[in-house]
This record gives sequence, C-alpha cells and structure tokens, in this order.
Amino acid sequence: MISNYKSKFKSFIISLSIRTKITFIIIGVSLLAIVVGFFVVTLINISNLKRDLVIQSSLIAKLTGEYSGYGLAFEDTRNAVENLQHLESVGYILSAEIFDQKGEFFASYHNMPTSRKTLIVNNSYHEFHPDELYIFEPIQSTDGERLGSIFLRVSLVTLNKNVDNYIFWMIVIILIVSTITILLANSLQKLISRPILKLAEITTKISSTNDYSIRINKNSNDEIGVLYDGFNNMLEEIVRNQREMLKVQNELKDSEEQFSTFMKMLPAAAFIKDKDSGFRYVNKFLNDNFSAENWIGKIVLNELPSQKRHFTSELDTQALIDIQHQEEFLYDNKNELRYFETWKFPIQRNEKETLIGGISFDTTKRKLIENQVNYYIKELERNNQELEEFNYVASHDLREPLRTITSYCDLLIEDIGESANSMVREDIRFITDATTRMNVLILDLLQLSRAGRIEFEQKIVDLNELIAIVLKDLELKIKETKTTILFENLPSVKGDATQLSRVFQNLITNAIKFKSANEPVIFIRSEEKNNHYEISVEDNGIGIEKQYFQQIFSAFKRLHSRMEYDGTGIGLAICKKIIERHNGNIRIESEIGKGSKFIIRLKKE
Amino acid sequence: MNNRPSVAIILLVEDNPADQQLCLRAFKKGKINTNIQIVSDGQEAMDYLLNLNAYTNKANYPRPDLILLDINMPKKDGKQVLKEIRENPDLKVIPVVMLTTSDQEKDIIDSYKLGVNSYISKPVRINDFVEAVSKLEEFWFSLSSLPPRNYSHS
Repeated sequence: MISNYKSKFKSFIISLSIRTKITFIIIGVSLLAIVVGFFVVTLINISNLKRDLVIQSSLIAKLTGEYSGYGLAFEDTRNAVENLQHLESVGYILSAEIFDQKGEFFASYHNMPTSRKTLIVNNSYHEFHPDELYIFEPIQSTDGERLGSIFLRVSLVTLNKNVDNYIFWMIVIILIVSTITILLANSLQKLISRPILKLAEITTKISSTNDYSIRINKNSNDEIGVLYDGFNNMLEEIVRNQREMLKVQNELKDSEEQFSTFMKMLPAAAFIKDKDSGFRYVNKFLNDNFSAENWIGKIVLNELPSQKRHFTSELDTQALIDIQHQEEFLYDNKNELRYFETWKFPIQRNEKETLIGGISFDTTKRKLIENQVNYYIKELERNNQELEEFNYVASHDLREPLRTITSYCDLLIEDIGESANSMVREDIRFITDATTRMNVLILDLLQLSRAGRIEFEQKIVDLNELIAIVLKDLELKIKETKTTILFENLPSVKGDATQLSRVFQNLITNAIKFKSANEPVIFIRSEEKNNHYEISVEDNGIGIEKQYFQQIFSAFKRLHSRMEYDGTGIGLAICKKIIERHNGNIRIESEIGKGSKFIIRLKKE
Repeated sequence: MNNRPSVAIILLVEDNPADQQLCLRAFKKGKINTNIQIVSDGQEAMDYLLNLNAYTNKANYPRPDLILLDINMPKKDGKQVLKEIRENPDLKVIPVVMLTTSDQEKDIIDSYKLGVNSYISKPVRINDFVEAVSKLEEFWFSLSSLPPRNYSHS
C-alpha cells in the first residue's frame, strides 16, 4: 500500500512541469524554514517568559518570606498579614499563604480562598497549572534555620495573553513572508526554468521542423550556458554528420544505381550464391530467361540430374577458394537449349562468410556455329579421304584395262603382221599412244594422291645434300640441255627427304623444259626471314603470264600444247601439295621472256 | 642343274582372262618351253595345290615348280594364297613370284613379309612383258636350283 502511494507520488512529481517543480521546491523549502524557525523562536520566547515569571515570583516569595520571618519567629500573625498585604500591589499574585515550621497554616493574603491546610517546603520549587503558577519557597532565618514555608499562586492570564498575542503575530508574519516567498519563488524559478524551457522549446521546434540550422542564444556563463554551448555544438555536429551522411548516402545511391543498372543491362547471367549453393541474387538476364526469381533462397542444383549435381556442387565448393570455369547448358523459359560459359569465384564478405559469385555468358550461337563447323570439318575430312581413296583406287584400277589395251594393241600389230595395210597400223599406234599417255596421266595422278596421303617423315634435311642428289639423278638431262645450275649455301629444314626431292626435281625439270632459246641457267638460293626460309628456284626460261600464276599449281593445267612441251601438267600440283604438307607455301614470280622464279616458304625447324 | 625339270611347270593364278592370255603369249613369244597351268582365283589355286575338288587328279594337275600369283583377285586374294602356301609344310618350298599391277609399297612389303620370292609389276608393253618372263625363266629355271618336285615334308 505504502509503496503504491509512494510510486504514485513519484509519478505525480515526475509528471509536473519543471516550472512547478522549481516553484514547489522553493516554496516548500522556504516555508519549512520559516515555519520551523518561527516555531522554535516562539517556543524559546514562551519558555523565557515563563522563566522570567518564575524568577520574579520566586524573588517576591523569598523577599516576602524574609519579611515574614520575624512574625513567624514571634508568632506575630498581624505582622505577617501586613507584610503579605504588600503583595496586593502586584496584580498578578492571586494569593500568598505562609505556613509555620511545623507546616501549620500561619497567615495568608488572598484574593481567593486558601487551597491547602499544611505545607512544608525544604527547597524552593514551582508548579505550572493551566492558568496558574504555584511558587513554593522555604522561609529561613539568617543563620539558615527553616522557619516556615511560603506558597504563592500566580495568575498566568497575562502571560497566556502575551503568548497568544505573540503567536498571533507570528502567524501573521509567517503568512506575509509566505506570500512574499511564493511571489518571489514564482519569479525566481524563471531564472532556472526559462533557459531550460527555452532549450525544450527549441528542441521541440527542431524535432518538428527538422531544421538543424536553429541555434540557441547563450546569455549566461553558468552551467546552463555550458549546456547551451554543448547543445549548439551538438547541433553543429548533427548538421555536419547529416551532411556527411547525405553525401555518403548519395554516393551509395549513385553506386547502387550504377551497379543495378549495370546488372540490369548486362547481357549475361550474373548471380550470387551462399556457400551451400543457395541463390542469393540473380540479375535481370537470368530472371528474364530462366525465371530465376524463384531460385532465390533455393539450392537449385538439388533439382539437377545426379551427375551434373555432383559436378556443379564440387565446382561450387572449389569456387569458394578460387576462380572456376565451366561450360554448361540449360533449358530456358521457352524450353530452348542454351549453352553457357560460366566463371565462379569467391566473394569474401567477412571472416565468417564467403559467398560464390558467378557470371555466365551465353555461348549458344558460338556453340551452334562451332558444332556446324565441326560437322563441316568432319564431312570435309570424310569427303577428302573418300576422294583420295577414290583417286588412288581409280588410278590403280584404271591402269589395269589400259595395260591390257596397250598389250593387246602390240599383239594385234604382231598378229596382223606385214599383211595389213599401213593405215591399220597407224590407227593402232594412235590407240597405243593414247593409252600410254593416259597411263602416264594416271601415274601422275597417283603420285599427286600419294603426296597428300602417304606417310610423312619429319627429319632434318640438308637441302645442299638433297639438291646434289637431285642433280645427280638429272645429270643426263642437264648435260643434254647444257643447263647451268648454281646453288648457294642452303639451309637445313625439317621434312620428308623423298618428297622434298620430288619438289626440287619437278621444279628443275620444269625449268629445263620451259627453257628459252638461250642455254638454261638455274639459280637456287635461300633467304632467311623471321621464322622461315624462302628457297627460290629461278630460271631464265620463257616465263609465265601473271594471269596464270594461280592456275599452274592446279592439276592438269597446261599452258602449252603437248606438241610444244611434253608432260601431264601435274608436277606443280604435286609440288604445291608436298610443300603444303610441310606447312609451307609455294608461289611464283615471273615475267614473259625473262624467266620464272618459284619461291618455297618453309618454316625453320 | 641336275634338279632341273625337263619341262618346268608353272601355276599361273590370275583372274583376268586377258592377262592369262597375255602371259601365255609372252611365254610363247619368248619361246620359253613351260607347262603353264592356269587357275582364276585364290580358292582354285589352293584347290589345285592340295588336289582338292576339281583338281583331284594329280596327273592332270601336277605340282608346280613356280607359282605366278596376282594380288587383286576375288574370293581369296594373292596375299592370302601366299600365306596359306607358306604355312603349309608341303607347299612352302615352292617359289612364289608376285606378278601384279599393284606397285603400292604396302603390297610389296606385305608380300615379302609373307615370304614371296620375287615381286614383278606387269609391264605395259608386250615386249617388256616378254623380257620379264624370259628373265624369270632364266633366273628360276636356268640359274637357280629348285627343290625336287617330289619334296614332301613328311
């Protein structure tokens, strides 16, 4: 119960305004001091009045007793009464009675009847009664012998009247002082409450208007002044913080906007997963194409087929440590297969959390083209192989009947003997010639086919030695045609010696074959370029028109009639094929009438 | 020389009739006196050599001193025949000469690996052919000593 009241009181006090509180405190403390002060002073004064009365009365009693000593000693009652009657002039003494040595009543002066029969007083004392004071005094002789006792009754009416008067004025003064106190309190409280209220008012204003530029004017140097300074500094700080925060906020907003626009426009999938592969973020691309919003908070890989799940899970785990790369495919919203190239990488958020970031580029178009290209390459390879097989088989099997035709033409001529006319012989010779030529053609074709097909050695070949051997093989032809062949320091290259020999043999043979009227001169030189050699075979022959520079490397392209120059026109095609198989190339520079220069470009080993 | 047969017996294994005739003409033109037996494919060649099926009569189909073998033949090709001859203890001593149009390196190497004695490309011109068979005759029947006809492993 008590605590209940206590708390009610406390909450009441707290609910009061500071002005009221200060006023109450001032008034309360002042009144308490005044009342207590006046009360104490009054008590002291009353007590002093009473003591004075006692002292005065006792003195009177003593004196009266001394005077009455004689009457007592001589039992002179008249004397005693006379003495007592002097007391009549002291208005407040109601009665005076004297008792003898034995305590017997002796004499009295009284305005009132006596109150007691006997009295023996050894020591003086007094008693306060409601309206009277009783004084008891012994009467002694000069030598100290007790002669009797005196008893005075003193009226307290005057005293009481004085006391009442005193109290009345006291109360009047208290009331006046209190009124002044209240008035003073009311105005004095403002000294403290006004600045506080001002502070409160400004705080309210700031909080309602959010205007932090308002400042409070300091007009004292006391604690309130310090408070105002603090308040203003605080506001300053708030404004500065606000400005700073706004700046940071704007920057953050800017960066956020930039990031989100980037993510929105990114023509690739971007995502963030937690360490358990649950999706945290997906960008617009992912959402547009795969409704990936539904992935958020889910571990999507759990829905994958088990093999892919294990792989992806494994990759995610590794992506927590280092960047990972993966090619994958997914069916999009339209149930179309899309290929992606994905990179996953760790995003270290803090010491405890690492996330997986990912970006996937759509490689569907490229993949489809790749597939198509691969398909074409395979088809081309197959076609090529078929063609070469056909080439080989055809040239092989074609020779069989040719050989038979040629052989039987021979037999036919033998069989008809001399009897047949020369026209038949001539006709048969045409057949034989044609078949022989066809045989040569087929053999060349076979060689061309072999150049692309036959197994191929990769050895270091010294071209100086190789050319020397080729020249030895062609010795007869060279002598017959009085050809001069010059070759300087040639390099060593990597390749197949037999096939490279064929190239130079063909080129030298061609150079001799297509000689001009002059004796043929052939230069074989080499020039070193960055990472390859250019080996040239240059002649002073008839030359070739520029328009045929490409054609001459095709099979069976002849620029001259068979009557002029013999051959099948396949030699250069074979050369080209062999050089290309050595990862090189061959080209011609030539001018009609001045000669030709075949340039072979071969990689350094 | 004392082993030389009176008339050399040659088994020609050739599927092309034109080539069969050509070969015969070449021998004839070269005036080489031989007994040429002709079979048209690998299967027949083995039947002949083992006197099986149509060739049970040993008198009519005598054991050859030399076999001329074409490579490209239907049923059983020349390499297979060669392999079977070399695997047969009774036949493996008979010299075998490949007479074929194939000048493919692989065919030549394979044939030598299988134990061919000689490898000849069929020449295009008849005179070259005559020369080739003459040389053949000269080498095998004049210069070399052939194993006796009655040689048998057992």
